[in-house]
Amino acid sequence: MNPTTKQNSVFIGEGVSFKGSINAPDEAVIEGQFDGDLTVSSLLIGQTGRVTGTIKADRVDVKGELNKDISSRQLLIVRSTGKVNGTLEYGEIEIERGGQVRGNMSQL
Amino acid sequence: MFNKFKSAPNNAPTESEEAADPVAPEELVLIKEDKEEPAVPVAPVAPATTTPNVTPSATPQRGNGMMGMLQANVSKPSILSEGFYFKGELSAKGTIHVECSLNGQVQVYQLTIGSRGQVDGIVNCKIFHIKGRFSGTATCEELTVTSSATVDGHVVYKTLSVQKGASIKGELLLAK
Repeated sequence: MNPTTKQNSVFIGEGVSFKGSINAPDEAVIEGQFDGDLTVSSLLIGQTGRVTGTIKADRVDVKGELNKDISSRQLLIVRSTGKVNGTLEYGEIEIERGGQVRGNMSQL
Repeated sequence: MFNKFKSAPNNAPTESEEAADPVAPEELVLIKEDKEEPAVPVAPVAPATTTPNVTPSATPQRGNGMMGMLQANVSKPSILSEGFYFKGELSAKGTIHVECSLNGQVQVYQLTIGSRGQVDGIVNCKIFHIKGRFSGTATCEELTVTSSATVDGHVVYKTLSVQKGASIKGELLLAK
């Protein structure tokens, strides 16, 4: 899979820092740093990724760090290396052993 | 015996009772002696000064047996079955498995809320396994929330795992 060539998708590589807002119809893969608003269908935060801001997505897969307001309409997966801080809204949640979650949670 | 009681005069039964009574004690004495006999040879085997040691050695054996029982009990969970309602304070060193409705304060080593279990209150434990419903405040080290679980409240944990399908409302906090 090469996310950089995918249509309707965005890829932020390791070492890249981005500030602003992104609206992607399909997928966002973040290996670098992201600060701002993110509206996407599927969000994947890699092990080196750090996302801070207001996130709205259908599916979220966290291997890195995710902060602030998170709304995952369908499924939120926190992997064993994942860290999530903030206010969480989710349809379904799965947290692997070792995953860290701090904050207020509510089911949609 | 009953026939004798019926046929014989009043004095006779008393005699027979007296006769019977001494027999029984003698038997008991004999049994006691039999019981004591194994102990008696044990003592002579050891030197006279070590006779007190014999009894302590015997008691620890009993003690070990009891400890073994206790340890065995520790690994086995205490089960509060379905249909049971408990309100109050509960504390144990071992494991408690809850299939019932429990309301109050719980302090245990491991608490498992079964799929039909419901716990409402303050929980303090090391290992916390939720398959049923939990509401309230919990402090634990290892938290496992399975797919059938509903959690509502404040949970402080050190390690956490949540299966897909679980419903969590409220706050999850990571203990430092």
